[in-house]
Amino acid sequence: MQTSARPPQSVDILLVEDNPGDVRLIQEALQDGKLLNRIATVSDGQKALAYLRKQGSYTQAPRPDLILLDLNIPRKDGREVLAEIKADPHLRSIPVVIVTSSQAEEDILRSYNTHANCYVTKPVDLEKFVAVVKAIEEFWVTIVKLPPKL
Amino acid sequence: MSMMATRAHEPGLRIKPIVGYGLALAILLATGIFQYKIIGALVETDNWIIHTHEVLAELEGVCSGLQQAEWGTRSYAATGVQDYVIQFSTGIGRADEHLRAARIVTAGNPSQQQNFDRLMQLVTAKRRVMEHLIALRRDQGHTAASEALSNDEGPKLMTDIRALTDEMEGKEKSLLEARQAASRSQAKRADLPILFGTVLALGLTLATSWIAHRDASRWRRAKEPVHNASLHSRSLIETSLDPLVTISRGGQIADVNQATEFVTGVARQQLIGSDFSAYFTEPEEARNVYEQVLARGSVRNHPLVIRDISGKHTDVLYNATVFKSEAGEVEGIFAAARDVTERKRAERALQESEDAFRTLAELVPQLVWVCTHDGLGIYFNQRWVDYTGLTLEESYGRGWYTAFHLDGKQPVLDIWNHTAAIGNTYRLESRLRSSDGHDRWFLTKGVPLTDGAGHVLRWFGTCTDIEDLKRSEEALRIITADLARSNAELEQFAYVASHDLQEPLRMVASFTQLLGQRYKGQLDADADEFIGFAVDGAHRMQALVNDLLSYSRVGARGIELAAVDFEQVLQMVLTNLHVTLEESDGQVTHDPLPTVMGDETQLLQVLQNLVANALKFHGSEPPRVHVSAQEIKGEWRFSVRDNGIGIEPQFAKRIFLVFQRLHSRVEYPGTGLGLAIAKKILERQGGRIWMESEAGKGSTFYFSLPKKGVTSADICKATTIC
Repeated sequence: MQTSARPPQSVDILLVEDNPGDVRLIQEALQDGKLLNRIATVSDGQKALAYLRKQGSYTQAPRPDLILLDLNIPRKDGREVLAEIKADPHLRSIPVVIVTSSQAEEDILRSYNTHANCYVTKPVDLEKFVAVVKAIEEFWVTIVKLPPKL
Repeated sequence: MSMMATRAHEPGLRIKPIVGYGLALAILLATGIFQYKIIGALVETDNWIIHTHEVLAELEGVCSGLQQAEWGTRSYAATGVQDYVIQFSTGIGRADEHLRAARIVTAGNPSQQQNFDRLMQLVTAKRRVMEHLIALRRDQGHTAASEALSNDEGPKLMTDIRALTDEMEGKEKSLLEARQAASRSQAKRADLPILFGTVLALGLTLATSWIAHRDASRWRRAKEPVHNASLHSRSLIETSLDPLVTISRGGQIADVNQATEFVTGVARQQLIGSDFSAYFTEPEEARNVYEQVLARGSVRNHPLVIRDISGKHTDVLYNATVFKSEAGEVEGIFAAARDVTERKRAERALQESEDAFRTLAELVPQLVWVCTHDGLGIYFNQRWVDYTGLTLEESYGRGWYTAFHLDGKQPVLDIWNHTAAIGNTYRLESRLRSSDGHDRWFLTKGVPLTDGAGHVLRWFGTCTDIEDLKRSEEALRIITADLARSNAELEQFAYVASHDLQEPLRMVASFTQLLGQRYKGQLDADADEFIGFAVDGAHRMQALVNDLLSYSRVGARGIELAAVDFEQVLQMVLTNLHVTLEESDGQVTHDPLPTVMGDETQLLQVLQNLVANALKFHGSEPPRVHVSAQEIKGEWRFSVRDNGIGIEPQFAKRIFLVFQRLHSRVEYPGTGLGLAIAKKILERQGGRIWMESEAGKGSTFYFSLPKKGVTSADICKATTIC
């Protein structure tokens, strides 16, 4: 788990991603942003759910305002994690953005059916990738009114 | 024959005419009596006519006598001459006389009698008037008489008398008319019965006479000498097609018919008196038969062979009986020989045909069988016996079914019953029980032999060993299934591989790009160039992996058939390609495009790949692309024509294969998968793709789609994933 220094108004983001390259790219993209967010990263599905439920080593973890979830992650994959979050009355109000390399229609449909808040395919091109991550930040952090912290 | 017939007819001869004649006589008698009665009636009527005329005459006489008396009375009154008194007396006398006679003739008629009484009174009154006049003239003279005459009742009485007699006459006449009419109608009614009776009697008499005559002739004929009958028999004998011979006790031919001459080739004169056995191929056997006839009285259907003078043989069946004299002594035999050469020939031909069939049936590698119309086995060849281990006896009838009864199932019977019912060709693939326990697959086929009316006479059938064929089929089926599975696995592999390759590739591409961005100019020129190659390579590989993924997805994705409007599809293609269109200064025109059943997403990809290629491979001229479609033989044929660089004919097929490129990446970038993907999509939807081109003169790419849309079977064929 990594955390960054942030002003008190900033939002907490949970990044569930096993590829360190992608983690780095997303962090690089977000570093360029105007807002400083607290980004926590976990590398598999089980850790993600433990973090959200403040279990194990995550008892002090803050409740995130936004979850960026990859689908193809070890131990418990992103589809299951999404289903559990949306089935949990305490967690389901947290917006979940699926950020994945899968373009399969089945994944897209299934994600929305399990109430993903949006589905984004990782662009192959670096510039587009950075643009997409910035767009996510812009939309979910500055435009959207998020539910109040419990 | 004649004796029997005669006895039967004798009683008829005696009874029938008597009855006939008696009946005729009775009818005549009845008719006579009837006629007599009619005549009697007629005579009576006639008597009545006479009677009426008598009555009329008497009444006339009365009137006439009274007129004479009147005339005498008036003349005496006028003249006083005594002669006129005599006239009066005579007239009165006549009147009285006729009056008496009239009384007699009208005695039987009460109404006339009444009139008559009245007539008597009037006549008496009249007479008194006249007598009074005469007395007056004689006693008192002319004047008194004239005076009395002028006012006496005489004329009135006379008028009354005349009226009464007229009435009586009328009555008689009408009575007569009624009687005459009755008599006439009676006579008329009598006409027909009399005529009928007479004719009947006449006919009966004639018929009886004829029967009597006929019976008499028969009787006579029967009694005539046999000579006449033998003339008749002779012609019958001569007409017979069978040789007929009478042979004397010594074995010499006594008589022959014409057929005997034909069959032996020997003339009648020579035949008669010769030894009968000389005309048979086996004279000894013929004599044996002869002896048998003499011993037993007859022989039936004994086969012998007649040889004619030229040596020709005739198969015959010999039938013979003895004939006896009046005294009952055997005089010889009467023999008939039935020519059975034709029958024998037919039998031989049938035998030969059957031999040929059996030879053939034994020769062929199949099991051969013959059944009756209801499935009873009547023939099986040796191979049947060898394979099934059933003996012929065990196979005959319904025994052969057991060879088909495996696992307690009876498909043979089910199909048999069905087939037999419709009289069609029997066909069944089944396992057949083998004597060695290694049951094999056989194809059993049966064809019916029918008569003219379509009734099945026989079933001819074969069982062909198809075990090897079955095994090959099974092997082929397994191989096909394996191939399909293998193809499916390959596509799955391609999908997974290309998908999983994307992740590391993205890392390589992203971080080399990041490296380039952050450190350009900070390292040396070589480093910048190397980074450039690495980024380019990563990008190309990404394109390849993407296209490969698309290619493998064509088969992995299910087909969603819907009406696809190609006008709309083309507009979407042009929207997707608008950057390329602007950059190349290209133009795309089109004819009216149809709506076709298909998978819209995939067909969009096909058209987009073709239009993109047409825009990409342009020469010095800006690209001009034309899309059109026409209906040909139940399918839609689309064409995408360009004015580009064209393709040499030898590459026309190669370009549709995976990764096949004709140009360097520097000239025309691309992965070499676009046409392969189009081809795969079209074949999956029952279509085809091909092209026509000439290097330097542009190309036309064609693709077709079935009008009715694709079926799931077509999809199976095209994808091998079923």
